[in-house]
Amino acid sequence: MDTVQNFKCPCCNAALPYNGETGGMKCEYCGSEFSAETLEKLMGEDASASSADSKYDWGSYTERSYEADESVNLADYSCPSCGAEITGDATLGATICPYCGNGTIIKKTFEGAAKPDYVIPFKVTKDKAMQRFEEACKKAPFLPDAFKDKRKIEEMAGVYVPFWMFDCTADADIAYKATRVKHWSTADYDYTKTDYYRAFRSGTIGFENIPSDGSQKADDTYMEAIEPYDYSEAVDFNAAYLSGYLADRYDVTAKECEPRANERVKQSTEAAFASTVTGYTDVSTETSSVRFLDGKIRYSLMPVWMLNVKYGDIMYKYAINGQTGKTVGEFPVDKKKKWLYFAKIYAIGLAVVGGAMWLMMNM
Amino acid sequence: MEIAIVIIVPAIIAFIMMFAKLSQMKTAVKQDRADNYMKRETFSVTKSKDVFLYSNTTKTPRPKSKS
Repeated sequence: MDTVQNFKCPCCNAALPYNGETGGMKCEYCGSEFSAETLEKLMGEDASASSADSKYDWGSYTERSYEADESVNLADYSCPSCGAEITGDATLGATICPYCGNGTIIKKTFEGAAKPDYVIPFKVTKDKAMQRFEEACKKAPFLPDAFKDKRKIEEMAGVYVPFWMFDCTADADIAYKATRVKHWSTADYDYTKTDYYRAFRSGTIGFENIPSDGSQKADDTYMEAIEPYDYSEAVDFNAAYLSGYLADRYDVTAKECEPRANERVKQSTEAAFASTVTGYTDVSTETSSVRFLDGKIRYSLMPVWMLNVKYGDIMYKYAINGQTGKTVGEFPVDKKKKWLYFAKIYAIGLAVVGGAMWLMMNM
Repeated sequence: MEIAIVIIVPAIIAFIMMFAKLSQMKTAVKQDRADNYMKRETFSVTKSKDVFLYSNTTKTPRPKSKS
């Protein structure tokens, strides 16, 4: 059984990447289009003949023995298009052959128990992702003017990031501290009356599809920042969607991701019940007990464009949601622009406050 | 006192506005909550009780204007 596959155009044999815009596979050379399901059927029925290899006797090569590094778990695969040896992590699921440029899928990474429950296919193309990045740059108020000309895009890759999706019902018992403050004045005194309350709330609230990224390589902060995804566009997993993109299997287990999901559910539950404590000046959580019922965990792949940009000596990372185009990252700050802005606001404030003070003193 | 107000208040406002703009330069931030994943139609409050504890009143003399 083939462990590695790539998708080729049945008409002209060129590389056949997944096209987010059309929702199918589109050949960039002859323009033919196919659905992912059609291609899977064709691949299943296709029996490719291999030509007989020429033989040259070079003698045998004695491999050097070496101590395997336990911290690096590598595996080798052979590109079915050009035969090049691709080395990657044992979790590698899809890659692009560095020699012939064909998308290559390592089937066993996403088989059996490791098969994702669903995938959200790429909808934002590489060009559109760059467009969204440029729009984000325009919105960055203190971006150096030289950033556009002097930056260097070191790497831009479309990656299917593995995510664990958590569903649950939160059953909560929460106690809040609440205060009601009244002010009034007489001729001689200012009065402040503070009434102290305890508010008790209990109930349930459901959550679904809380994502937590299952990859050590993907920065958790970036993966949370590009949320949310539209799950109505999630489809059953099909390896064809990965063609032309990178993908890894999870290397962070669902158990390791649970605490993060739990914390987010707890914060949202406390805030939801706090919104029912009304008519007070201030409300804060005193104690809370949140239990998770009907828990369900699913495994999915989500599309992300990863972008590394070098400006000066610093590498800036950006992530673009491959479905919605939401762009997040950290932009360099032009200190001169920043302090110029401060000076402008200060000057306006000085004029307004100074003018108001002068009017008050001369009334 | 008035001069101090005129100098300090605009500086505070300018700092606040500058930091608000600076926050737009770093958009990769963690999501503390899961509000986007809440099924609002399942929100059910089974117990709601507010208990008054005590009251506290403070009294501050008003500054008299010098005439």
